Amino acid sequence: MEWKRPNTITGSAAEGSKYFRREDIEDRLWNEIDKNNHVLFLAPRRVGKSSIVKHMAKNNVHSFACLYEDIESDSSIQDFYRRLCRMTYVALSVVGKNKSLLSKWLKKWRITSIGKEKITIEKNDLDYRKEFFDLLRDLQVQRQKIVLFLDEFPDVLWKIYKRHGNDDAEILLNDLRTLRQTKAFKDVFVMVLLGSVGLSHIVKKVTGRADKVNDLHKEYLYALKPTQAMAFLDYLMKDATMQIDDETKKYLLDKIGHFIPYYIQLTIEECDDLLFEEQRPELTKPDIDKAYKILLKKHQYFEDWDSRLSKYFPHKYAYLSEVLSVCAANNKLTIQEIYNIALSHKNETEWKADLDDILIADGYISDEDDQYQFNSPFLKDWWKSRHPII
Amino acid sequence: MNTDIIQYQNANQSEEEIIKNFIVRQKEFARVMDDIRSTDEGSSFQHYIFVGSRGSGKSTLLRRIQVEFSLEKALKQQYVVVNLSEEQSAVYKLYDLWDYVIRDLNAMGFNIEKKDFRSYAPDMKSYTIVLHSQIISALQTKKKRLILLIDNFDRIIDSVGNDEDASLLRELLMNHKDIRIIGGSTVMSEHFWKYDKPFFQFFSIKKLESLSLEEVKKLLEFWSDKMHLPELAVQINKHPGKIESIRMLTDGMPRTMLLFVDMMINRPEQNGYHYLQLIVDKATPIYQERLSRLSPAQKKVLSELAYFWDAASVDELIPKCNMDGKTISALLNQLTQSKYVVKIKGATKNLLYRLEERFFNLWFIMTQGGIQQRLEAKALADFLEKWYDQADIQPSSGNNPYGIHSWTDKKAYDHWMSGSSSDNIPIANEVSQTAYVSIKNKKKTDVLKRSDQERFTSGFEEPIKKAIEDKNYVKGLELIQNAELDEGVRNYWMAIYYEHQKKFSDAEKYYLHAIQLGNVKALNDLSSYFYKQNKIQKIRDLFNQISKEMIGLFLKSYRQFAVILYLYSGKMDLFIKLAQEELTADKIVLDEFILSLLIHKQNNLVFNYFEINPKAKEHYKPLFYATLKLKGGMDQTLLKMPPEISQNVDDIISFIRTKQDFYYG
Repeated sequence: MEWKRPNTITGSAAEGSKYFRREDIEDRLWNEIDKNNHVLFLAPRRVGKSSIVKHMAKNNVHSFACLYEDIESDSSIQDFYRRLCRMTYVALSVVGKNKSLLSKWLKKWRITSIGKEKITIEKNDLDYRKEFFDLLRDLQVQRQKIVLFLDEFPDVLWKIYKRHGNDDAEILLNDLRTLRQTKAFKDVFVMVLLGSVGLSHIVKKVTGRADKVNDLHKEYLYALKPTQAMAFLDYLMKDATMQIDDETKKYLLDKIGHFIPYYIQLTIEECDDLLFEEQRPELTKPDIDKAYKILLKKHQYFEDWDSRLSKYFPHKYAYLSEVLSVCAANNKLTIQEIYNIALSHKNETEWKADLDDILIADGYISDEDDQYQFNSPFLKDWWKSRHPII
Repeated sequence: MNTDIIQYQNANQSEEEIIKNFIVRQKEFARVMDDIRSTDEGSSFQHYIFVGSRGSGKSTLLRRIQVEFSLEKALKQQYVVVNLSEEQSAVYKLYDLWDYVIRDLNAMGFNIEKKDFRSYAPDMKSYTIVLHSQIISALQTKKKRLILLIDNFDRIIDSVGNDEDASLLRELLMNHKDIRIIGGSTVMSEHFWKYDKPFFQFFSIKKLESLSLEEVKKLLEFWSDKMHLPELAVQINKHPGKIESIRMLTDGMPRTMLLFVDMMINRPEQNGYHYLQLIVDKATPIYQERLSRLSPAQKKVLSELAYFWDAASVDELIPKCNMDGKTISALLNQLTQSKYVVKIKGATKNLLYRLEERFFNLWFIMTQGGIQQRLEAKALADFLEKWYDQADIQPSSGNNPYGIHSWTDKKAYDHWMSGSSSDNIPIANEVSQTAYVSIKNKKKTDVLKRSDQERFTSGFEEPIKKAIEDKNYVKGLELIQNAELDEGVRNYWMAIYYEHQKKFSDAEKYYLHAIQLGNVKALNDLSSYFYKQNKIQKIRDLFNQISKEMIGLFLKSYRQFAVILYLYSGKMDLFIKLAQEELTADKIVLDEFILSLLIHKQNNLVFNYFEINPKAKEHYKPLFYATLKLKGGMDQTLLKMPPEISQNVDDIISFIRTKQDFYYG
């Protein structure tokens, strides 16, 4: 039997036919960009942020010049602005206007083309921070709006802070505020910053306060709603050999509980592998149970998630562990319940910061509509068996 | 090793040979190729890492993928493949990786200009990005995408894997969809599963597990066909225990199983343990090389840990290593970091340690260990072989074998002929037959004891047994009626004759006649028959009607079965008295005795026996851990269980549960 696999992708961002559109969030982001608002787009890792903005950058129906890049390797202000210069140059080249401007920078920065969309800036001894602001001034004249989607931005800020110290990190944060709050810049330049860790807690570590990014418009990417998850399943299964009836689909989703596309796809892939081996197209509930069990076994590195908390936060471990245990047992947890747990551990002052900076920032749980849930259903089940509530 | 098989493992095989000899790991191959074929040009890639220990078939799988691209026209048009299996040791930084990719591409006719790093130094990040850009540009010019095969990707990522280079690699893979990485890794590197590492859940990780029995069967069938040795293909049905025992104890990796196949071709008819010895010998150069990389102190700790076989704590290692706990902990940490040892955390603070590669542990025991350790290895190999050597075990099903012990399932005559639990060892050959005839002719049979008579008459019984087995009942009956047999023995064979034809009431009648004539084997077999049919009242009636002398004889010849029958029929005072005599600190009882005690819910009695008799515990390792599991509440000790026996332990427990359902509903 010729076996057609489901249309899954579980590592890289989903692009092209692998991308399941999230028009609701795309619209919200475009809406903010239209208003010239810089956006902080947040979600834990593997929820699908990059896929969404990659699609937006490629399928931009506005007159903006858009470009997406993962920028996680940048570790200095010079790196960061040199990248912004290059990205802006590439974005403008794709639009095909502004030739005189492009030629000006081409010479000044010694730009070399490598391939269709690939250029490098050869000149090293320029202050690219200054160059970038000069570039924005030129753009004001041209009335050309640039939108850059910058993935893993909080990581970059953290690296600059660690490598070059507080002053450089503050410079970058102040620059961002200038870019956000100066109308002339806002009209021509919008950034969508993507992060899997909360920017505000990094900013707080860098500056001692979180107010430097308070005015950034924040968008959160949540897990799929049940109807979206159903549609997502249909999208994955279109043309696939494996067949799932509606009741079994529901069973599969119930098993996962929290509809993060990554985990849905992992489960689908495992189910497909099972059926492929037996060359049997109909997926059954016992198959799902078996696949889920195999996945749990494969994701066996949860010990580290537990020991990391006890190792780095020995005095907070009892509180953090109980939050996770109750969350695992009940599937969800409210902020009120968390506060209640905090009181029993005499953690009245830092309970919320611990929640945000440790459990959320490190990817254990995330909140949605004031309910906290595990990101990974596998980690949740492991935690439940390791730390049962008696 | 057979030169032919060496040739098949060689990296210089032709493409046709690679395809032809690619027997296992088909599922993983299909998964990747299906994905690649169904990925359209505008879509992003899934990157893959195959994680498996040495000899698990990673390199072969990567080579097979490479060949697929060179043979399939459509793939060849879209992709170019670079396999960095040879060059990887020279990759020190990310730019080395791109440099080697460029070299390989240029060897294929790409004409990528060589950039001098000195033009970029000290900004090596720019140099790295430029090399990558050159590759992307060259690929786009030729309208190709690159499949980058990297064996031992863990080593590459460890070399380049400082966060800076790792972040850059991820960034480049995220920003461009021209390069797809398919790699192999011996370990599940923390780069793949730690939330704060750049490659957290970035790759699709496919584990290359031990081969299943079904896959081993495929291997045997392939080599049987290839070497024109039809006998090889049927080995798995004929000797499943031998194969399962070796599969479990050697990690079941393709390279080892291939060695095993080679042994079966060149040295047939060995038992499982002998094969194991031969395979272990073959692995010696590899493991000696691994040992040579360690310091003398590390070697000492590793050796002592290996001799434990089960996982051990630092406290347990102290008296063996003659070192203080701090030093041992430090050495164990080093060994853990270099992946020789794995750390196990349980509910308590005490950590346990064991050798990560289990076949390496077995190699230690069988080549470096003392007599006691080697005996333990032999006992385990024999136990596994026996356990899985039952006719009705379903290959790869993981189900329980029925008939592990003669008391419940084996045909009565099998039991008797093998004398497994009796002190009567039949001498079934021409010499004994001649001797018996000669003695009888001299009218000296009267001086023979009953058991001696049985021994000598057994010479006549071989043809009877064979006729019955061949279902040649006419001949069987003729032989039984005409052979010079003791009447008790003749009745016994009549019972077997009817039992084999499933005429149980006739069989029972003859068994009873034989018992009345003092045939103790008949008593054993009839009670065994009732026992396995769960006919408790029949057993009680039978023992009520036989003489004390007969019971004494039965206890002498089949003591442990008798103890089980007392337990089964609820005669607890007799059971307790006799069980205490059997389960002593210096006696290794039969495995089927322990198993039967567990079936009849004597977990604590068996546990106490293992507690007072450490030799028995080592001798019956799987039974010991099965007892712990059944007993419950021993989680910390259970963590010590060597993973290579865990499937067997589960199989034992499952078997016991099935039997308990049968006996107790």
